[in-house]
Amino acid sequence: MRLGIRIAKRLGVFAVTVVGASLLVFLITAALPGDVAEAILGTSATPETVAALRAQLGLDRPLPVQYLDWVGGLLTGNLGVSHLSGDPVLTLLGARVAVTAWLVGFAMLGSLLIALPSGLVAAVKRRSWQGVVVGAGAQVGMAIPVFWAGILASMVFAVWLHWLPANGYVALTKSPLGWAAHLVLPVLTLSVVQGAALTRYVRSAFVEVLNEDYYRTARAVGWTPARALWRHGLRNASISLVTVLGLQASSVLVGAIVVESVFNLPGLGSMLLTAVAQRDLLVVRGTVMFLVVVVLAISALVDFSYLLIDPRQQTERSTQ
Amino acid sequence: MSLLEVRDLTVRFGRRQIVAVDGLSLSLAKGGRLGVIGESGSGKTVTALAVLGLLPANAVVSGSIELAGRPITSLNEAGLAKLRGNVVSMVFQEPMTALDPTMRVGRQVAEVLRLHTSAAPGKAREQVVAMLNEVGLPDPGRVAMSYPHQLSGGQRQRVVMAMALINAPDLVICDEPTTALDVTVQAKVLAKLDQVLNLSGAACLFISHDLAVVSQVCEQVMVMLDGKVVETGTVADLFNRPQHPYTKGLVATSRLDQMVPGQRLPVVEDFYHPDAERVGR
Repeated sequence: MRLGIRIAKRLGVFAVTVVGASLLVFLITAALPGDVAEAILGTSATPETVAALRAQLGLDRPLPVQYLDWVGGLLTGNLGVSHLSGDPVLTLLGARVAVTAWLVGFAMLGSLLIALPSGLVAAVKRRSWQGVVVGAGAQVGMAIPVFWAGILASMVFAVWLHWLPANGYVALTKSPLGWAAHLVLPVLTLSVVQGAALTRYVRSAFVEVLNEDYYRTARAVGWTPARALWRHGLRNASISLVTVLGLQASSVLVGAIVVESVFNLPGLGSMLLTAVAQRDLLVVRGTVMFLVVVVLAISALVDFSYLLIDPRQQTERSTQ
Repeated sequence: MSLLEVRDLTVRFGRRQIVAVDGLSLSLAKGGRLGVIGESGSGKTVTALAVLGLLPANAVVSGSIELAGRPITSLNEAGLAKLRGNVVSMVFQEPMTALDPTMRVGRQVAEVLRLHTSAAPGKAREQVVAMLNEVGLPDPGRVAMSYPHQLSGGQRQRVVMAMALINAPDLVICDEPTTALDVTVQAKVLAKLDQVLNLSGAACLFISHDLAVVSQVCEQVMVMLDGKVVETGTVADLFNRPQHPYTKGLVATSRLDQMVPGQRLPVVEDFYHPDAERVGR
């Protein structure tokens, strides 16, 4: 019963946050200087024609009306149409979401593949040179801006070595090999930058485990330090690591927007940047709302994942 | 030949080289039992960890430790790992935190078995349940499927004992195994420990600050103070003819049944000559 209440509460928080976010997204986009009517008509248009177009697009209505109209559409799954192309925002999102999903998914996986082993080494060998090397590497990785890492990767592996394409994208259904080749560099870029930040968290979570009694028990029954940490530390460390992963989800999405424009990938990020530049408000709002819901859903999933990771959270009370 | 032979063991910690154990020697025969008694900070646990080769990295060890003919102080990590849990094992003081909170206890015991033997999973499970039964856990099948937080302190300590005993080690080191338990549970756990040690024929190094507890498991007792051994003998000798002032104090403070109500309780310091300085202080 208590578990049900807890899940219901969490979903309530989720709903309230989504409503708050929608208001915030609406207000910020409404406050952007300039509007789509000017973008469509160009600088030579007269104030009268701009006003006429604004009225036609419904941009002259009071903000609360525009907001309720937009939110009402959200609830029924209608995100409106792009002022520029006339395509439904939902269709635009659908066409782009796969690219971003691949990029973010693989980058999350890649960053874990980097951070878990290197964080483990950094914790076990924290007093010798290996630990120092990993720590310094993580610092350097964190200091590198993601766009610069992307440009560097594309210069080295595409321009100089010709191993991989420098930019662009091929759909999985068209050519699996081309799809993979085009994703390698963007995923690598995002993984390394995110993995560096994550390594520090993994290290400190494992260092905490090193001071636990159950780690000493594991050592006393014959596990070597690294294996004791892996077998008995990973799940315990995961309790704090999933929190960090949840928090990182938003920074991975932001990173993805940058990486998409560096590698010219037709994902949500590049669509968002174009839409902002053109003041295509409904596209901007729809995309940002979608990203917000994804981030909130991830953080709700993080909360539920504690139930899976930590058996103490499942039992309502001790049996004895 | 003795099972455990410690000669002139000295352990120092850190840059300031603080001495935790100072020239300790002891010898334990196969199947023998030795109680190590002393107050906190007297070097009991450090001695135990040195025997397991589990001292922290900032410890400097001199002297020699030989366990079943193997020189512990010169073995590498892999060599030590093979001995731990197999030839020598340890029962720790804190049953509440000594077990991994995220793993079922049966699996934690089975892991120790499978780490050192090539028991098949099904066979290992059988052996684990049998071991849990042996350390006196009723309904061992259910206990094996429990997480540590679902068990009481006494039950957990028995699980820790099962982990220490499952590979029938030659030496079991018990570091204050019952200190965290309440007195009635303490007596039961000690009786069970005594019984399983008899059954397996393992030698035991039993560390405690409580003379009464030690006397339930061991005949021979070694008294430690400030990293040094100040007295050794049988429990009876110590009780009847304590030599060192610290031992005299220890014996007097453990005989609360002989106190007169209203009288001030004795403390160890009462047994030192007012002019005499305590060793190392």
